[in-house]
This record gives sequence, C-alpha cells and structure tokens, in this order.
Amino acid sequence: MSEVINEPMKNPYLPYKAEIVEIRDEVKGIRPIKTFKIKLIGRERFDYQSGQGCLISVFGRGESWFTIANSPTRPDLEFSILKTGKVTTKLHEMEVGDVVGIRGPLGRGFPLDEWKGMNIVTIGGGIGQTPLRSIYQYVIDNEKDYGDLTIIYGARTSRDLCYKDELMELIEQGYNVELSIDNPEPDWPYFVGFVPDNLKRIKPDPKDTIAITCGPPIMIKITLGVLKDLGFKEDQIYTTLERRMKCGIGKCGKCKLESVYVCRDGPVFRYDELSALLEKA
Amino acid sequence: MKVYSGNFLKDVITRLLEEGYRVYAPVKEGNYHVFRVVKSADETDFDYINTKKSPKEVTFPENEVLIKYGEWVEELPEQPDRLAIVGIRPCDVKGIRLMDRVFLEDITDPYYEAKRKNLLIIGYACNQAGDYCFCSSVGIKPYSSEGVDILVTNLNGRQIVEVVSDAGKELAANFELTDASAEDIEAKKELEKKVMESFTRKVDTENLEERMKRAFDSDYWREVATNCISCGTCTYLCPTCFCFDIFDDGELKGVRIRAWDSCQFPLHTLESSSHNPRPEKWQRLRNRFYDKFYYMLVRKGELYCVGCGRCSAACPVGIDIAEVIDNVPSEVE
Amino acid sequence: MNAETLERIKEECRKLPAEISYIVGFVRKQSEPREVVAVLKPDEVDKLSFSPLSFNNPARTVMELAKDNKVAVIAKGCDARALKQLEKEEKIERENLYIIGISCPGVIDYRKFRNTVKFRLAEIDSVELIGDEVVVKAGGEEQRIPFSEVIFENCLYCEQPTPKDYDVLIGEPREGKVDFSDIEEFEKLSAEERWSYWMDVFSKCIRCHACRQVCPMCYCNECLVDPSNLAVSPMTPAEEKAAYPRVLGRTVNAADNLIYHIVRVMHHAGRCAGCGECERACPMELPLRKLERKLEKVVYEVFNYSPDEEIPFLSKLDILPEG
Repeated sequence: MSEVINEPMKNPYLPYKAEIVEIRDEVKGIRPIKTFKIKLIGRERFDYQSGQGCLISVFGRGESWFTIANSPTRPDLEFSILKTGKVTTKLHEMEVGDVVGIRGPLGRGFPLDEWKGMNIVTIGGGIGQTPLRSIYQYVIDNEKDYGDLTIIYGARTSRDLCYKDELMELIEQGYNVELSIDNPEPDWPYFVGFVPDNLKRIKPDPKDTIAITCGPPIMIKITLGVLKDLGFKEDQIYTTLERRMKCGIGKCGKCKLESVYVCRDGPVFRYDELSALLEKA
Repeated sequence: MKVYSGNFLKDVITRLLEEGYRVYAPVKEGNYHVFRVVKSADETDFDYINTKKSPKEVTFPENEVLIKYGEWVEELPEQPDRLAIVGIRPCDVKGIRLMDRVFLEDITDPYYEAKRKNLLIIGYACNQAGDYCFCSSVGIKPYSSEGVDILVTNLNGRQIVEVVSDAGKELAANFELTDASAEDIEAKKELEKKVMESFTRKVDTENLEERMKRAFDSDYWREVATNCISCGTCTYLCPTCFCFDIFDDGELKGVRIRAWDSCQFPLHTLESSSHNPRPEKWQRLRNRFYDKFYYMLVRKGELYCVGCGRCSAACPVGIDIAEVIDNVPSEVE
Repeated sequence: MNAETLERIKEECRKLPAEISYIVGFVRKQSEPREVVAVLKPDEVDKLSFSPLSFNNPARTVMELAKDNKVAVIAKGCDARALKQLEKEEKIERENLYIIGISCPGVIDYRKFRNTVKFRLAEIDSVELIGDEVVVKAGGEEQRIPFSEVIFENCLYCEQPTPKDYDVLIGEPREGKVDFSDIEEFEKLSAEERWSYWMDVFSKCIRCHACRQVCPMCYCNECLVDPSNLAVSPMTPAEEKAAYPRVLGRTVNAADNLIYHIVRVMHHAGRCAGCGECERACPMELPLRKLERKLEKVVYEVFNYSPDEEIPFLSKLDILPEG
C-alpha cells in the first residue's frame, strides 16, 4: 500500500474522518434543511475561504458537494443540507456523534481580501443563503476592513427561511438585514414579494460596492438584471454555480462547463467570467 | 537508429515478463485486436492498424477501486510496480500524454500517477493509415517517437529500433542491436513519406477555434445529432475521453469505485434537483465535439483528439468525427 | 438491390402525398460507401441513396419524428416490423406514416465487408448487389464478392424480408422462413460449455449501452439496468430518490454484464423485430442476436407467437397455451 495514497492530504480522494457535533433544524416539512456542525477527528480544522466547498462522504451512499455555511473566522465547520437524494437523506437520519467523511476545502472561494474597503451586499434566496452567510459572518468578524454590509434574503414562506435566529439577532444588533417572503402571511413585518423586487426597492448604491447573489437559477437571472439596472458593472457582481460533482478536484468532468470546472475553478465566479462563455450558465 | 534481426516486439515482451513487468500487448480476439495483460509473447499478434479499444485503460481502468470501506476506510488498493505497454501506436501515445495533462497537472491524481510513473512505453510506428485515421490532420506523425521509451518500426520485415529514453536504453542494452546503415535510414524516410501519403482522410483545422466559436449556436449540431443514440461507444473507445463517475458499491461494506462515464449519457449531468444542464442529445453531442476541438484547446492549449478514428469506425449510426469537424460551418446566420 | 431500386425509391418519393413533411431514408456517407439514416425534406429526394450497405434501422428516428409530423419512411422487412411493433405499443400512429417498403435480400455485414474489400473505403464509388454477387466499383476498377461471404448472418434467418405493411412496395415479394437451426445447434452444447461461452462474451462487454440505445424496442425513459440515478422531477421526494432500486452499478465485469444483457433481452419477448442493430452497434462485436433469438424461439414454441401477429405479445399471455 503506497504511503501517498494513504494520506488524505496527498490522496485527494481520501476523506478526513469527522464527527457531527451539533444538528440544527433550519426548515421543516417535505423539503427539510438541517445545519450540521462538524469537527474533524484527530486533527485541527483546515483553513478555508468563504465560498469553498467540501464533499461529504457517507460510505455506502456516496459523496455530495456542499458549500461551507459559516465563516473561517468561526471555530467549527458548518454545512446546511437540503434533504434531496441518497446521501442527504442518510445525513438527515444521522445523529450527533455519527461519523462522516469530509474532503476539502475544494474550489475557489470569494476574494474577500480584494473586497477590503468595499461595501458588501449579499442577495440570497432559499438555501442559496449558505455561502452568503459565510461572507456576512466574515465581514462582521472583520468589520473594520469593510464598508457597509447589507443582507438581502428571501424565501417562499417564513418557514423556508434559514438561519432565522441568527438573522433576528443581527437585526437586533442593528445590522442592515432585509428579509422577504413571496406571499403575504399574517404578522410578517418585512417585505412581501420576490427577492429581486426587494432589491429594486432597497436600491443599493453601486459605488464601491460588491454584490453577491446566490439562489435558484431564475432568481439569479432576474437579480442580475436588476443589479445592472442599478448601475452595477459585471465585475462588481459575484455568484456561485452548482453542478453535479463527483471528484471535486477538476478531473472527472461532471461539473465541466465548457473549459471551466465548477468544482475547481469555481464554484465562485465573477459575472464577467460567465458571460464570456458560449453557453449561458 | 538501430536494427534488430529478430522480432523485437515479441522478444521485448519475453524479457519484460522475465523481469516481472505486467505487460499489456495486442491480442487478436475475433475480428479485432485489443490490449490485454499477456503471460507470454505467444499470445500477441502485431498485425493490426490499431486496436479496437484505446489503451487508456492501462493507466485509467474502466473500473478502479479507490477505497475499500466498512464503517470507515478499511483498505486502499495496491498499485502495480512495473507496467509496460508494447505495440502502442503514436496516436495513442499522444492520447496518454493528453491524459497525463488531465490527471497529473494541477492536483495530482495519485491512482493515475502510481500507474503512469511505472509505465514503460514501447511504441510501434504505423506503416499505413487505416480507413478512419486522420492523425496527420491533428498534428501527429504516425511514426513519431515522442513520448515513448523505445519506438519500433517494421521495415521490409526487419525491425528498426529507436531508443528514446534512459529507461529505453536500459532495456535495449539486453538486446543485440546493430547500427542502421545509411540505406536503412534512407528506406525508413521513404516509408515515412509513404505513410503520410496513405491517409484518405483529412480534417481542416485551419482557423478551427474561431470556426467552432462562431458555430456554437448553429443548427448544424442538431442536424449532426439526428441519428445519435446517446450511447457511450465514442467516449469509451476514445483515447482522450477521461470523464468518470464515482460511486459506492455495497451498503454496509464495499468499495468506492471510479468508472468511466460518458457525457453522451443523459444522466451524466443530471442533478438531484432534476435540473440537467444538457438535457437534449444534440447538446451532449455538441459537448463532445467542443470538448475535443475547443474547450480543451482553451484550457490546455491542445486539441483533445488524436485522429485515431475509433469513434467514427464504431459509431452505430455512422457519426464521423472527421466529417463533422471538417463540415463545421464557417458562416453562421 | 441495385441502381434500379434507388430509382424506384426516388420515383415514389417524388409523388408522395402532400401532407408528408419528411422523408426518413438513407444517404451515403461522405468518406465511405455505407449509408446512414437521414431526415430529408420532400424536395431533397436527390440526396437519397440505397445499397446493401443501407443496414441501419430507421424506426428509432421515425419514432421521434412521427410524433408531430407525417413521415415517409424507406423500410426493409425488419424495419417495417419494428415500426409495426411500435404502432402496436402506441409509440407511432400508422396514419402518420407512409411506408415505402423494400423487399430485402439481406444486408451486408460491414465488418466482413471491410475485411474483404481490396479498396480503401474512401476510394469506393459504389456497392451493388447484382444476382448473388456484391459488385464494388472504385476508380474504374471492380471487385466481385459472393454475397454469401459478406451477408449479415442475421439475415440468413430472416422471417420477414418483405414488409408486411406498406403503402407501396419496391421489388418482388420474398418469402421469409422460421428457422432456428443456429440456436438448435447451440443448444446441443452442454450447460458448462454454454456458460463458459457466455462468460467469455460478457467479459468483453464494456457497457457502453450502444445495444440498448440503438434498439427501437428499448425506448423506455427509465431503464432497470441504468447504473446511475433514475429520472427525477422537482417534486420527487428525497426518500424516493434515496430508495430507488438499483439493480446494477457501473461495475463492469462478466457477472454484472450478464445481468445487464439478460434483463434487457427478457424485455423483448415477442417484441424484437430481428433487425440486428444491437449486434451491429456493439463495438466489441458481441453475438447479441443469439440471446434474442433464443428468446424468440421460446416464445414461438411455447406461445406459438411471432411478432408479426396483429395483437401484442402480452395480450397473448392472457390466453393459456394448449396442453
């Protein structure tokens, strides 16, 4: 048995052993979302950038890609996982103390260093809030390095909003958090309508501002239009892409979008990088 | 340039087997040849234009165990010590070199590397182009010694041996080789000229990048895909198609396997949400041609087609890569 | 099958009913003598070609096209049989078809042809069947090959060389036959011999799925032996996706390949048109028709059923066979 292959750092297919240390319900119902706090066993947490992902492994089921849901400035890794297929159904059955495999950090994250001194606007929908949460946590933890922070987030109903407690706390602390739901509900004090409409209403100033959007494809598409109307240039807008992924290291070709591997060259892309492609992502 | 009086290819196999190599060599099975692990030189047959399957499976097997698991990782597979492939054609050597760029550049793939770094390559120059061959159109010489350890050429029944690498030198030291005469050298040049003239297919790669870029939204791709059945024949036989899937075989105890996959399969890119970036067969077909002649050119600076013609020869519905690329419209409305 | 046949095809295609929007016929490839299936507009009749190398079955292409169009199709006996079966299975409506039937003497096995012909493929001008000889012409030269040397073996056992259902027929009708002598011969082998034969065959399969994809009868959206996840919609619950039965993974070995082939063939009971596309498509040249023909023989003997009957095979199963 070769030593190289036996070492997770050198064999990128070999997962780190990790333990689930906390599970929080984010969304209940038929499309539930849970946030898992995960600790590596026998080693320190690896360093990573907001926006990077990991492949979580359940032997016997397979592996799935998840964006890391919290900021590298926080102690443990968190992943918010929608129950949707083989691996995620198994993960949703798991309990604190159960073991999973983890490969990462993978891909290219957000260039948060480049953004120093800029205002940050995150525009999220549904579970697409995950990478954006990592950004706002990072910006909050390094507040002096950045300008104004605006968190725009919406979901179909109030029950579909992730990280509700955290967001309420931020509102209490005076952060600019703009929530929305698609349809009216009794006692909902915030905006009612789609995320891009809320963005239109809020009208963030494009001057010295970076906008990052993540959510369902249709929401991203409309949001991009609104941002352009507001005067944002393509190089001020970032998003993350999702594709089916297997290897996570730019080999297997599953996530290949033309000459670009989403798992390796992304999942974070600046909008002008995507509009240069032949096929519209 | 040296001359060997016997059958160098067969004798080298015998020698390598004695030294404990795992040797892949062409074996005749029914109507065609394939590379198989051989136990003796007697099993081999070198009378072929090229093999049915490409030899990519030497370093990138159709199925490969990555991890054996129970509750957790239990074992990782042993990797072979010394491998040799004997009788590989120059187009397929180029195929291996293109695979190297996928698996060894950027993050190294350790499973591929373990086999590749121990692989000895004994090439076999072509004396005639096959009916589907067009390697000369994609910048490959069918007698090229690029990337081999030793290249063997059949010259009027005698074997010309070109020792290229240090490993090749070491191996060649075991054989009685004499220097090629001026006549031999002249005759080999003649042969090379003759091979180049034997191509019946040519692909116009002039300005191809620009043509491909412009033709992306052309209806041409729907027309080409009319008969496409979305099978994996082209990709599985191809020496440079590298897409793979990873899956677990066994619920409580089993193996994590990587297996060839094909961008032509509708389920290749299907996401759990039901979103599929390439749901239509013409999009998948277009993807393969663009990957070979445009995307990889953008990413790696090289065409990912070596002109072996296997896909054209085997396509069940007669889709022909050389024709398809040659006919890419230069003007698109 | 010669230039005359092609002229007759063109003639018929020039006087098609006005409501026909496409012709599914054969067009010669640019760089080699074989034909491929092509979808043409009625004013593109001149592009048509036909020879004993028009071996593909157009039924699959027709099935896609005839959903929303009226289509004329050039059909050999087995092609027409596949169309009939698809009609019985409500995949094609007969009224959307205009069948130009060809009485077929058999097609050439292109692999045998390539091994026999002395010309480079690109040099060949024409390939015709004249009497029982294949006449190949290239640059003024000619090679005559006995048809029996290059005929696709499957055609030797053809039950229906002449389409049973057509709008117009080209050529004198030919008699088919029920002949399972090849299978009877194979059945004489011992169980061990047959097992080792098939394990050897299946060890060569690379599971490219060409046999399934090319088969006009393998039109299912989801296949039991698909190695990946099955089709999903946005509403498919996670539990359902997680619990999808997966008969086979992408594991490729003789045992798993055997399951793939046996399961596939079993779904063709009483349905296979016998065109042989599976065997032709197989890049590893596996004798896949042998499996299908064994099943045909069983269905014929036990249920006295042939795919040419007007009723679907499954309804035949409702009627207990005598004895």
